[in-house]
Amino acid sequence: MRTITGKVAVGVSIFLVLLSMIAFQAIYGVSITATSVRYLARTALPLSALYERFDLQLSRTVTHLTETLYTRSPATLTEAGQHTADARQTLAALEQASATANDPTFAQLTAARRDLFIRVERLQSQIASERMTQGSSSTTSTAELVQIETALDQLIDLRHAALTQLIDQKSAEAETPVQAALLAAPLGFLAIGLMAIVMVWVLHRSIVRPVRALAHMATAIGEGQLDQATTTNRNDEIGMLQRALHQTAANLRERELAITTRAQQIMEHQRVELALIQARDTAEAANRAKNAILSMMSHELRTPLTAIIGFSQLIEQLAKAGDYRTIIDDIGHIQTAGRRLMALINDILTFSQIEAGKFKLSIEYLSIVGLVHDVTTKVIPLLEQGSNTLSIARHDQAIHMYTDGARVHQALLNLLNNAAKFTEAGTITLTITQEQIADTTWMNFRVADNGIGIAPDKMQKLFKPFSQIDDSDNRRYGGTGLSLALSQRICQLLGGEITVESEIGVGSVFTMRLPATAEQLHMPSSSSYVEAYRPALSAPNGETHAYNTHC
Amino acid sequence: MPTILIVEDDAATLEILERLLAIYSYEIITADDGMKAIALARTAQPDLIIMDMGLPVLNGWQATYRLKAMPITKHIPIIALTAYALTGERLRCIAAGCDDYDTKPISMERLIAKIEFLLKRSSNTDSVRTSA
Repeated sequence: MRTITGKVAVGVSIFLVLLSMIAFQAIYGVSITATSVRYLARTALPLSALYERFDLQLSRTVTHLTETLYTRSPATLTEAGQHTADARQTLAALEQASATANDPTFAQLTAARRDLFIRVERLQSQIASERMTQGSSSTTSTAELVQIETALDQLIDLRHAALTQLIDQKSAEAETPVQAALLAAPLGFLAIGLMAIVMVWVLHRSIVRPVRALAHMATAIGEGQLDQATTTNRNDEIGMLQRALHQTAANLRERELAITTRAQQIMEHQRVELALIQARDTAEAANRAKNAILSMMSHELRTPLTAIIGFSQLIEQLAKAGDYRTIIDDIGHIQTAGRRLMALINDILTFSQIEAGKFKLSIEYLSIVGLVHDVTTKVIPLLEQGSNTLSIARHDQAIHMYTDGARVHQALLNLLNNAAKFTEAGTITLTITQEQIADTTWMNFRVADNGIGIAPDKMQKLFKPFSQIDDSDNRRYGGTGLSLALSQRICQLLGGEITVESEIGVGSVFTMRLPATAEQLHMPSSSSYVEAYRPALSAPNGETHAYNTHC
Repeated sequence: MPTILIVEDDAATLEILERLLAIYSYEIITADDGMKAIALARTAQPDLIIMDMGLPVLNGWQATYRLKAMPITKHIPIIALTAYALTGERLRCIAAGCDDYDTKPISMERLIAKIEFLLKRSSNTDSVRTSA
């Protein structure tokens, strides 16, 4: 009886038992009442009527007999005889009926009447005989008549009393179960009501409350609070439901774990994929950069070569024709182009040394005057080409440095070439100053021009290698964009740096700031741009240092 | 005498081309950027254009594209002459509308052969067009 079905069955059974008890009580009462009423109707009342009729007939006989005594009329005697006959008939019916009723009261009443009837018959015979004999009425007959009258009255009273008693008794018998039912019904219904309350309470306690708790649990599980699911030892349907929910939560937890694991795997795959894509993009970018560099190298090497070969062909043609008028200028062109080629090759070599990590500084005494002389000599042809003038100012203290002279030469020449390239019919000023900051003596080479200037957004890219690649479609000025980046790298390796200030249309100022005494530095790790280009430049396809072999 | 428009921004290269082609008795006109080249091609109607690609203002590819788009200049053969000599450059030039392509340093014999071929082809086309 631990299941809900059992509880409900017990409840309903108790209900049914109670109801059937009440129903039985009612039916039983009704049957008792019905018996009493039937008895009254079928037995008591017909008997009562017979008694009444008999008593009436007998009293009439007595009346006629009394009259006969006084009048001595034969007619009254005959009439009394008729009533006596009627009474005899009624008495026979009465005897039969009381025998059927089988009731001592009625038997007694009937027996008393038989006795009285016999006395009346005897009296009647006596009166009849007295009249025959013409004697006067005997006193005995009169006295007997009075006695009989009195007995009859008594019998009538007895009958009344007996019947009244009987009706009272039977009425009481009929009423008792009705009263009992009237008393029992409210009690039964009260019991049923109490039972109902108890059942509701039991159902509430054993079904509604746990179902609500389970609903909360299910909601919690739905919201992902899987630890809210508890198990139970209950053996009923609620217990089954709770265990099922608990199992569901456990399954969900397992599945969640599996999903989490899978999600992590997917994320891991995505991460790997992303890394691969990035690696591919990096490789592709490096490849594009390599192609761009090679294209630029090719272009930059071919331009001076075009001039060298072209002017050579021209001189050849002119010489064949005996025309030597332009030969000096033409040879000058060849020399300029040759120097440009040389500077370019130097840049490329240095760049490849830095890139290969084989760049070495050779620190030695450097005369500033000598440096200025060498550099200006080289830049003069380019200056003349742009109709520029060069003005040099050197601080008296700025006499010498201990540094890598060739590198300083290269960087300074790049700055001057740059200034000359971007200035037309202007002035380029080289100012060399020395300053002492703390323990370090600094040498500043300031190259100022009044050329086209540099747009602010281009300034950032200025020191990145191959920066001119981006503008190759609309280029005006030759160059790989390598020289400034290279000069900056060289200065950094020497412990200094190049800074720039510029305004569009006004001019640019490049300041190369170097320690007067350079330290032999270990080759620093490759900078980011070198890193970026490295995979492309060291591609194992034989093109790795293609430009080196050209040089 | 055929007229050749040389478009070149490098002064030295321009001088070489101008003087070398003069020896072969072509009439030479010059421009040093793409914009000037278009203007000159429309007005002077040269028989052939030698076009550098890395030009200021309007680069060689753009200039070629525009020249080939205009009815008045589209018949003029264009030879791309560029120091960008790697694979792909040729296709890029042909795609822009150039009739031929040559690289620097200049090989005079090769360049002259290309010029002559294109001049002959366009004169044939002209005669066909005239007779039609």
